[in-house]
Amino acid sequence: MALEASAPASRVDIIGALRQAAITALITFGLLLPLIGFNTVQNIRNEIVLETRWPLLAALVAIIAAGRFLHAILIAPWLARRAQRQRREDAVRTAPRARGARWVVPFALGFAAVYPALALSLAGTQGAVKWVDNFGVQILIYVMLGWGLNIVVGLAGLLDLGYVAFYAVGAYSYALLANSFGLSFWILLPVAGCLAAFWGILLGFPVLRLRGDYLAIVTLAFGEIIRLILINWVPVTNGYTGISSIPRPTFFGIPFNASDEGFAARFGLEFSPVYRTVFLYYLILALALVTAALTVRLRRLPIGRAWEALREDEIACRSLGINTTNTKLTAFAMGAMFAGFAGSFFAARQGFISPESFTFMESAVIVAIVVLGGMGSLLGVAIAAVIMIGGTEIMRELDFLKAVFGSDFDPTQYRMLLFGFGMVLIMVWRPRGLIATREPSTLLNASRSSRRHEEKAQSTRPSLVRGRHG
Amino acid sequence: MSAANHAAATAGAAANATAPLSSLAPVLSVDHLSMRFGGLVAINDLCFTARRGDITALIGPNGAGKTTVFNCITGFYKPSEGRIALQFGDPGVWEELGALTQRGTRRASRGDGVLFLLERMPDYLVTQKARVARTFQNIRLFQGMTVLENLLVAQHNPLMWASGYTVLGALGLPSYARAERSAIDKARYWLERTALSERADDLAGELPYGAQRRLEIARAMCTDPALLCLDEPAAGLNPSESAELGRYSMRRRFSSSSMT
Amino acid sequence: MEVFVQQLINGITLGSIYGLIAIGYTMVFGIIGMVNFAHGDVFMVSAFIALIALLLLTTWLGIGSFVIALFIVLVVAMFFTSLLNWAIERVAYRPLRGSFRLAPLISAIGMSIFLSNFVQVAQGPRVKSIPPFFNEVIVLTPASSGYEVAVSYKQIVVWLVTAALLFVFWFLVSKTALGRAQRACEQDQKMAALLGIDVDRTISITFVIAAALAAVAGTMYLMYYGVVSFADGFVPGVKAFTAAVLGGIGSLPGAVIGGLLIGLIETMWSAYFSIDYKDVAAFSILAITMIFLPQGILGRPDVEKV
Repeated sequence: MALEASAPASRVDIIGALRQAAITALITFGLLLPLIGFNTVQNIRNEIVLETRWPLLAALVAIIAAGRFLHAILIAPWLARRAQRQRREDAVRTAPRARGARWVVPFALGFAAVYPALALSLAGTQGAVKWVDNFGVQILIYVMLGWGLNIVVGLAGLLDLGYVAFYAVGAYSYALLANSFGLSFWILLPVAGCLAAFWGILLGFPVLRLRGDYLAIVTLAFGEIIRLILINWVPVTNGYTGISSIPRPTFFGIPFNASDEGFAARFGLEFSPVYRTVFLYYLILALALVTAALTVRLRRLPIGRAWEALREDEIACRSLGINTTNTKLTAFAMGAMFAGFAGSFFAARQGFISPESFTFMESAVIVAIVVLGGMGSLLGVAIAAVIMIGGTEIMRELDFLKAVFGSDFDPTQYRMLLFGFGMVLIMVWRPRGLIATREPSTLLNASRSSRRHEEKAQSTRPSLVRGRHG
Repeated sequence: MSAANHAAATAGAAANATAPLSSLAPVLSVDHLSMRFGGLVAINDLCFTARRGDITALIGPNGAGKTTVFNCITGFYKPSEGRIALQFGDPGVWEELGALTQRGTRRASRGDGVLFLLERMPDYLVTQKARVARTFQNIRLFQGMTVLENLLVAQHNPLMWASGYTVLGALGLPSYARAERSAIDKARYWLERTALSERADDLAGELPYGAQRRLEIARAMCTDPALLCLDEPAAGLNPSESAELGRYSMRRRFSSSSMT
Repeated sequence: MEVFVQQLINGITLGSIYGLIAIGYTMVFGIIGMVNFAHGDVFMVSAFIALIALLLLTTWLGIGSFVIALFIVLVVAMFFTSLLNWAIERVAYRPLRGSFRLAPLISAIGMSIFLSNFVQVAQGPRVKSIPPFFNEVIVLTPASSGYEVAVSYKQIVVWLVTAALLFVFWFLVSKTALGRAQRACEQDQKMAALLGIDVDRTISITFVIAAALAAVAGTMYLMYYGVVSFADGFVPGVKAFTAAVLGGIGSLPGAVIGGLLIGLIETMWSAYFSIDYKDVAAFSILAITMIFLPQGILGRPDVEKV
């Protein structure tokens, strides 16, 4: 029956699709005419002049119109069919997905554990540095930041657009304290976390009674204020120049250098920078896993349930005697603490920090990772971090595109462009994020309930009645 | 119950006070309560008492200010004028009322009796300390959480205490596990009484409307209230559902409750 | 005293530009309750469109008359910016209407990142400057007094254009059927739809008007400062949003007053305190306003619905 219905419709649709494509082409032409059609360039006398780029404009318009046409004749009907099918399976959907997730987590953990070894064996000691550092460490920093912010945004539902400020507090705490007092990384890691948490409480206290989007903007303002102070308070922070020669973390007292006391010499290995990179990789992996473990734990405690309840309905929380200010503050401080850990790790890994690393864009990237991954879902956040950060890192590796688009084509230019586009796209496609299902923190009767889920999964029909009543 | 609702349509009074003659001391006493929003007078000089074990109904047409009264009692609004006193334990503590009002603090006690002036308390303390629970006219459940989780959130304060404000709980001490089991037992008790046991692990937002109303009442009961305020408990229910709700309320013998 | 008067003149000029952008935030927030995070970048794009239109007119078509050039540039910038904002609403916000509350804000942040990077890729990362023109000033104090207080023709143009367009749009919003439809949608979209108002169309028009005013601001900005770069959307955007909040979000006169206040505070702060910390001042005002005066100067107090 579905086939009969869709067949005549699709024949008519070709004309409709053509019309839609033509309209899209016209609008796209209008949108791109000023900024793509014309280019402002400086000539030899440093005057600004216009150049035209008609072929590029035509090509882009054609591509987008073609895309719209294909969407209208192929993707839209497919989506409609899928939506129909999904409505039918709606009630059944959660159980099988949860079963799939059971295998994803151990697999991902296993892969993360052997990743440096894999990189070493595939790329050799020289090549592995890039793979472990650019992909492994870089992605894991964002996974950790995402999991930390997930407590604030995902669980407690407080949109924090200034999260990077706490990351900066952690990084500068470590850099300044290590440089001036010579304290080791292992002492300063908790100190940086506590300082960041302290700042979280300090900044959080006045603003946490504001509602959703106002809170977002105020936290953004706080993030920018902290960054501007880092820039302008030159005697302490060294301004734009930043702080360099920050001590690197040691392997429980053994430095990673080429000396006789160094890691390689002590363990009878040939010196290579890759050991430090691998060590850093496992360090951030451990930090990230601590974040995840604590989140899982807290979700099953009253404070975690209160966070989630707060996200669902703040007024109902207050009617149940929950002190919402304190509950929000703990979420804020907890999130800030993990940002502080990540920040001090970042400073130790780079050996150099400057305010450039703590712009609003970083906050936006972390928020994007949390929201796109699915608020509250640790797995979703990790997947989003891998896609968004890994994806933008891969852009650096796409040198072959130069052969296609000419030698002045620089793929890294397009990183943030695609990032912003991806954010919009995923929001429109899945407003609730990649993984929108939520594991209950406790079940009344675990065995009975899982049996009930199995039953639901096996039979497709009976739960048609229940579902969307309210 | 439904009779009260029909009466509401015809009563026409701004708010209605209930019977004075009782051997029992009141649990709630509202004196000269007024609430103004700018120029709009929502409540004007309202006085009533609610006695322990009774169901006291606040009835009136749309816009009479019933919900505003509830919001004042539960601390969501600060009344412009007036006094809202709530007591449990030894009724002798009522004699402290004058002194407490003079003193400007929120709490007085005598023996095991405690007296609170609710208009002086922030909303969450009204529930936490003065043990007033409420439901909402437009149901406010934690839609994305399961039915059981809704009831556990309602027991937040005792559970927080048991988990040593998260620290001991995070360490996995057995005392917290015991506390959580007893919280689940209490939740199970109320689920059975509201006929929701079967749906305990479903999302609250997926329940039918009538079940959501019952869940909201069960959630309020999980806070161990001395006073339960039900705001339009029968709104949106069909006659048989509201009759059923009436039976529940009777059977359960609330320690005290009031409804609109 | 002379310094103060001079800063007053500069502050009002800057404030007019902020006010124009702030109206965009306020209108969109009023009608769909979202902070249109991309609005600052729409303003930046409009400045680029104005730049290109200006170059087209002066270098290719050789139009010499300043007034005619400015008029055409304004119209062109308003048209293309409106088209852009219409498309943004259609693509990035409309599908998310009625979705969970943070979704449109996230989408807007994504759009903001996209727009600034699009301009960076399409027009290059360098700051674009136009040749100086129309630089005559009117000196208000005698040269003997030491400090010269001057009003430039550009500043007068900014004031006049801002005032004229504000009047036109104020008329549009408060006196026409369109304005009534808009206010109805602000109150209750479902009810407005039941009464036969095309809610989608009304919201689209709101975005178009917001963009048109941002385009005026963009053109004025380009003319007044003579430079624009792809990164110029964020900070003016946040400051204009501050202005909207300070004036009372949802209120058109509030946005203008807020814009003027922010402009004045910024120039005064730079003149009397520290130019390094002028953005800190703006962000602090934002935070302080939201914490202590969330309804703003002219906004309605927000009664919590229980």
